[in-house]
Amino acid sequence: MTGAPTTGSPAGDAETALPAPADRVLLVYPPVYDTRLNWAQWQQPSLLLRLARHLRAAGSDVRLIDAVAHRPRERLRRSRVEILDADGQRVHRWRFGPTAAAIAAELRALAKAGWQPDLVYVECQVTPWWEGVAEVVRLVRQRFPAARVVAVGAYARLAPAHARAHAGVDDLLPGLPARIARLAADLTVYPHVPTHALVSLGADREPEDLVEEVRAKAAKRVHHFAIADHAPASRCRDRFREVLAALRDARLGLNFYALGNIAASDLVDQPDLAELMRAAGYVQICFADDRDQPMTAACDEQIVAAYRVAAERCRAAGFVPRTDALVGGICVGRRGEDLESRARLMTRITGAVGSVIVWPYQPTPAECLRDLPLQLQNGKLFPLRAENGLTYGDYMGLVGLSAILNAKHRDVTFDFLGDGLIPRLFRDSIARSGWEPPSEVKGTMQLPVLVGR
Amino acid sequence: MTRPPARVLADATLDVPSVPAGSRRALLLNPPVYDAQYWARWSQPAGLLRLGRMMRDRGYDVRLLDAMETDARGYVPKSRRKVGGVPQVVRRDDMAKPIYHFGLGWDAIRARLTALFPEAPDEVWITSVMTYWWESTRDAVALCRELFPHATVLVGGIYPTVAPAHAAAKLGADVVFTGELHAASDCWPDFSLYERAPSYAIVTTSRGCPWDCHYCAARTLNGGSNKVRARDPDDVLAEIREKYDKYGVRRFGFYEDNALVSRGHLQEVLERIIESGMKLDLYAPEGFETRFLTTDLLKVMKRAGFDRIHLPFEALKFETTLGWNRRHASTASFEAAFEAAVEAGFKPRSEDINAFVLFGLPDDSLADILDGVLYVHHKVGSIVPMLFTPVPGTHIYREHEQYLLREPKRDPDGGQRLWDLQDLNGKFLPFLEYNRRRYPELRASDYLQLEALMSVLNNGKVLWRAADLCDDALASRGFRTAVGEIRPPKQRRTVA
Repeated sequence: MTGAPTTGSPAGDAETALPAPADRVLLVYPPVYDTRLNWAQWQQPSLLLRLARHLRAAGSDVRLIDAVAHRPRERLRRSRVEILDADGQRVHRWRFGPTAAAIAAELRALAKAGWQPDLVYVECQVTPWWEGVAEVVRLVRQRFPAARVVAVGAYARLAPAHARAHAGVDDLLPGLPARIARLAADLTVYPHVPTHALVSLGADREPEDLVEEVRAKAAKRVHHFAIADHAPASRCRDRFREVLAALRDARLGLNFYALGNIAASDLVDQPDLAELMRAAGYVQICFADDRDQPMTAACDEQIVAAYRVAAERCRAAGFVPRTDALVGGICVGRRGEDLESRARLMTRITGAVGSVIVWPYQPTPAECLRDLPLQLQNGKLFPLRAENGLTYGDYMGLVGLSAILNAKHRDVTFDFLGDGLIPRLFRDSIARSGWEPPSEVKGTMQLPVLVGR
Repeated sequence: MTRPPARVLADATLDVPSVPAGSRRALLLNPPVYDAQYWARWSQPAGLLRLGRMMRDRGYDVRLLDAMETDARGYVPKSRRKVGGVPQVVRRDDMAKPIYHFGLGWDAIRARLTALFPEAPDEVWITSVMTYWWESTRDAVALCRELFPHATVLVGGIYPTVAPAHAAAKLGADVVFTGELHAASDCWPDFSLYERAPSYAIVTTSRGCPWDCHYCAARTLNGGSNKVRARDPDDVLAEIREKYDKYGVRRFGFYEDNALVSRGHLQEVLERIIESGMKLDLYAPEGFETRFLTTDLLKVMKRAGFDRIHLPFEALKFETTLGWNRRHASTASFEAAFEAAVEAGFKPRSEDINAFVLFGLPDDSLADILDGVLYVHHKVGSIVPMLFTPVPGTHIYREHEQYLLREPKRDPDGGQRLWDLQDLNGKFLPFLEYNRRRYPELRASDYLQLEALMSVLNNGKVLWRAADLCDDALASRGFRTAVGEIRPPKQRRTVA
C-alpha cells in the first residue's frame, strides 16, 4: 500500500546477510517525496529500529536521523518540489521532512562531536520515494565519505539496479534476517520517544514477548500501537488471537489500531474476533482493501456481505458505527478496473461500515510502464490510469466521492443508504434528478404581476 | 411584589435629552444568551454602540458591558445553564439539546457592573435581539434592578420591537422601546466604549425594504414602512475609515434590510472604498437580493474586499417563494446571480459562493427541500442550512400563532404545556408537530439528518473543491447506481 506503514518482510529472510559489524552505525530514514503523506505519525523505519536493537546488542554505537519524525502536535514540514501535469490537472508533489540543510546540520553536529559512522543504513519502503534516499546518501557522502551506505527495504528489494545507479548506495539489504526481524523495535534511539509504535508478531514470537514489548514501550509513554504484520488474522491466526488474549488479560489501557491488515472476512470467519480485538484495546479498525481479490460483480457482492457481517459484529463488540472506529478499504488503480463499479462498491461499503479509505494501488516497478520515471510510478498518481482508459481527473472524482462519504457531521458520517426518512427522500431526489428542475419551476428574472393577492 | 407592565415607548414618545457633560450616567448592557448554540461571528450590539455614541454626544457618561464580547480567538465564554442547580435541556421528540449560558456568567457581570459603576447609573439600556432569548434579558433586568434600584431600566432592540406586549409584561423593565431611535440610527457605533476594540465592525448603509416577505420582520422593524433610506456614501466611508485608522479594524460586515434595492448605492460605497486604498475583508452574511447582482457589481465587490458572497437560494420552486410573498426571488434570478459571480471571479465549488437553503417552515415539502439541496450542491457546492424561526410580527407567525402559542404541546416525558417565545427557537423545530400533519412519521432527528446531509455535502472536499455527486463523472454515476439499487424494506413507512 502506498505510504501505509509496514514492517517490511515480517518473517524476515533467513538468507539475507548483514554487512560486517561496525563500531558506529548511523540509521537514516529519509524525507518523503510524495503528493501527500497520510498517517505521518505511523511512518516509522521499523527495519532500522529493529536493526538498532540488534546492533546495540552487538556493541555498536547507533544513532538515528528520522526525517519524518515529528512531535504529536507538530506539523511535519513540507515544501513543494514540483507541479505535475496529470492529464491537465495540476498536482503538487511535496517533500516532507526537515530541509536538506537541517539534515546536513545534524550530520555536521555528529562529525563535530567526533562521531564518524563506519556504516550507514537508509530505509525506504516505497519505491517512488527513492529521491529521499538519494538526497540523504548525497549528504552522508559529503560529510562522511569513508562510510559504507546500505539501502534497506522495498526499494532495495524491488528496484536494486535503480538504487545502485540513482541513489548512490554501496550495498543493498532487501530484508532483515529472521533473527533480527523478530526483535522488538528500539524506540530509544529517538531523542523524543514517539507516541505511536508499530509492533510485529514476527515469524515465531511468543505472545508474551510482544506484550512485554508493548508494556515496555508504554512505560516510555507510547500509547498508540499497531500490529503491522500483513493479514495477521488469517496468516497467523492462532498467534494473533493469543496475542489479543494476552493484551486483553494484561489490561494495559492502550489504544490499538488496525491499519489496513484486518479483512472484513476475518471477522466473518472468526465470529468472536471483533470482541477479542475490542477487549485487547483496539479503538479503530481500518479494514484491509480488496487488492488480492478479483474485480467481479460476484466478488463485490461477497465483499459487501462480509462488511455487513463485520460491521454488525463490531457494533456488538462496542465499536461505534459511522465514526472513526470503523473504516472500510477499497483498492483503486489496478489494471483493468471499471471506475464506476469501484465507486458503486465504495458506496456500498460505506453503507455497511460508515466510511472508507481509498487505497491507491502501488504497482511494482516491474508492473509499470518502463518509460515512467520511478517517482512517477507512485500509486497516488494512478500510474496505470492510461492503460485503463481513464484520466487522473476520473480518479479524483472517486477521491471526491470518498470525501463526501467520509465527511462527518457531529462525528458521524451520513448514511446515504439508510432507512431513515431523509436518506430515502435523498435517494428519491437522486432517482428523479432533482438537481435538474424543469425551467417552469424556476420562475423568471422578471417580477410577475400577481392578480388577486 | 408584582411590577406593573413597562411603558411601551417609541421614537416619537421617548426623549433622550442633552444634559450637562457627565451629569447623567448610563449603562449600556448587551446581556448573555441562553441557547443550544451560538455563532459569535458578526454578533456585535451595533445598535447599542450607536446609541452610546448619541448619548455621549448629548453629555451622558456612558459605560458599556458587552457580556457577549469575544476573546482574542473570537470565542465567548460558555457554561451549562442551570435553573435551581438543574442543567437545562430542551427535549423535542427524539432530540435533546443541552442549553448553555453563552457570554459572561451572572457573577462576573455583577462584579463588572459593580466595578464599572461605583455610583449607580441613572439609566440602564439593555439591548435584546432574538425573541427566543428574552429570558436572559429578563434576568439582566432583574440583576440591574437589584444592583441599581433607582435607575430607569429601558429595553430596546428587535425583540421588544416585534413583541412589545410580551416584553412589557415579562421583562420587568420600566420602558420597552420599540422600533428605531432615529437620532441614533446614523451614528457610528462607538468602539471607544470597549476596553479592547473589536476586530470587526458592522456597517449599515441603508434601512428598509420594499418587500414584505412572509417570514421576515423587516417591515415591522421599520414601523410598517416599505420606504428605503440610504446613507450618504461619504458618511459610510468616513465611518469605515474611522474604524480602520483608529481601531485597526479590517473586517467589515454589511447588515442591511436590502442592500441593493437602492440602485447603485452599495456599488458607490464600494467604489469609494476601492479609491480609498483601504485593504478590507468585507462580508454580507445576510445575503443579497439576487436580481440586482450583476457581473459589474460583483467585480466591484471583489475588488473592494468581498472574498465570499452569500446568495439567498431558499427554495427551488417559484411557487414556494411566491407563497412566501417573495415574487422578486426565483431560482432563475439565483442562477443569473451565480453565473455573474463566477464571471466576476468568485470560484464555484469553493466557499467563495454560498447559498442559503431554508427548512423547518410550516408546510415544508421535504421532497422539494431535498431537490433544492441537491440543486445547490450541484450548482454551487456550498450550502448554508437555515433552520426557520418564526418571528413575531411576521405573516407566518401571525398565521400560526394559534398553533405556536395557544395549543398545548406534548413533551417527550408525556406532559403537556403551552409554549412561550423561548420555545420558538428554530433549533428546537417549532413546526415539527405541525408538519406531522403532512409527514406523520417525521421525527426531530430527521431535521438533524437533513442538516447533517447538507454539512457532509459541504465537507466532502478534495483540496478546496467540493465534490459533486450529481455530475457526470464515473464516480458520481457509480454512487447514483448504488443508491438507486436500495429497495424499500418490508413494512416501510410511507412518505407523503
